[in-house]
Amino acid sequence: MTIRDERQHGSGNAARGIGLLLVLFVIMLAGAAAIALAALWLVG
Amino acid sequence: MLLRPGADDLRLIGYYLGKVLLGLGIVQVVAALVAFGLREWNSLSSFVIGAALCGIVGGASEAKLASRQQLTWAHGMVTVALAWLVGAVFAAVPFHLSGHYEDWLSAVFEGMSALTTTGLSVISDLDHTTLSMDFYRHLLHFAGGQGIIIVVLSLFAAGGGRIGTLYVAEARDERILPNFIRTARFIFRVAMVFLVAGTAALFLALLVAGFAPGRAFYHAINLFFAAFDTGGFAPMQASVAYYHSFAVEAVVMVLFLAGSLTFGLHFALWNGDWRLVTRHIETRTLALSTSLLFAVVCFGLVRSGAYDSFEPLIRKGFFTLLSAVSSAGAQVKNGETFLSDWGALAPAAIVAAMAIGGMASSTAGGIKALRVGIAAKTLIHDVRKLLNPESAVVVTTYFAGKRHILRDQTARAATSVLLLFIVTYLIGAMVGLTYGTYDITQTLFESVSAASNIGLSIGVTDPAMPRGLMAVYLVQMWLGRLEFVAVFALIGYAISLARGRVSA
Repeated sequence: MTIRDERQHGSGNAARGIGLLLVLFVIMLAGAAAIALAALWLVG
Repeated sequence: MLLRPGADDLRLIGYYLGKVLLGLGIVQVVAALVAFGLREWNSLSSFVIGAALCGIVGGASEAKLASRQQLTWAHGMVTVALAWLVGAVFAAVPFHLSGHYEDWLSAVFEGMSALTTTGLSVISDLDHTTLSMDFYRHLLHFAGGQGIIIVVLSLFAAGGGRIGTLYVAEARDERILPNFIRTARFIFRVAMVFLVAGTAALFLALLVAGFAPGRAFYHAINLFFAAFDTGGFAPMQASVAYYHSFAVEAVVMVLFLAGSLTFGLHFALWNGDWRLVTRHIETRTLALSTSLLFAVVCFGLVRSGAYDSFEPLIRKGFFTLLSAVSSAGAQVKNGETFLSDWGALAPAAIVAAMAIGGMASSTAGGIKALRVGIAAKTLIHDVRKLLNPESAVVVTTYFAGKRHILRDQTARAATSVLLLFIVTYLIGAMVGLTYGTYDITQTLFESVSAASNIGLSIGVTDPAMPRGLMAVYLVQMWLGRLEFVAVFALIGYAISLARGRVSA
């Protein structure tokens, strides 16, 4: 990140940041759900 | 031969420590205002005494020790190492006066645990402490998590360059923007946005759970401080389990994730640079390690008969794992029943997650995903070198903001700190064993939790714990937060004070 980049883009958009973080969380939770279901199917 | 520091060097360190104390004094003034608003007069007097002490000592240091000398790397390291110690002692004053701590060491332990965002607590009767005192515990998480140093430089610093040394020494050496002041401003902007959004989301979740608005707001803000700063304190003794609400647990987990992300990745998310997030070595390391460890947790929980359905695997198992890997330390299960209810395998995976910790340049603790990723890359690099002809040039790269070539120096630094963490975990575990009342599973769990600044407890840390072990955990929290280097610099500085060569 250079000074010119920062001048062009600013330090970003908070709403977009939180939105993408929520997407990351949903992906993570979906992965965890898949692992939990697999464990129940394999071991339970 | 080391050069002996002069009087000007010591004045400069004292001057900046004074600034840190003034910052801590402001935190205590905020808590005093809350106590005043809630008419909690005993707590108010405790905060006034604490803030007055910080103000007098900090103000005197600033007035008497001002120096024109330039701040160097060594000054920065020593100042930061001392700042956490001095900060814990001064933060403990209101705790000690509250009457909820058995002795002075317990109060300092709580102060260190709060400022290092560890979250292990030795408070007696938490559920009956005053609201303002409990708020102060959580506010210290926020102050420590966002970095007392950053607070100080944002509030007091006039110039840019030399204060950067303090920031780097706090084991958070990522420059997101071209200078430190702008980086600090971005970190605060992220914190403020999440403060508003996170508290609002928790407030709504608590309203849905049946809390009255005032009580919901109080719990929401405290839970936010602890979750976003990956602390571990909670307003109630039962931690997050108290709320019996999946909505609360879900918001807290999102805040764990936000708190354990490096501020560089927050910057990428705010700029919509999704590729930078998914390519980053820390994202990949955490995704892989958390997936593997959650599979182990699930296997252990199902195999031991603890749970046989989907919901508790997520709400208990995954929450606890995420709490460990993000170094948040919030609990949805009483730690004393981890071993009896969960068997040995799932808690072992939790210990591994605590050891790895979150991302570098975040509020998370532990070895850090960056170092674990680099250590893994180093291993792969060495195997590739073995399998290739001697004349072949083997180049390994990793992505952390930009593509880096893995150099010996980087690999050595990462593996050295990793080794130091492991040695610290083992020392804490062995000291715990000497008391004869805990087994290795308990002492290792608690030792890793302390040194990685996690805060999950298996029941060893309590108000009546042996004082020697409490002191060891206190040192582990300090070492873990500073990731050793600043503490070594402090020791070297002390030796050079005694035996160093006087400069000509």
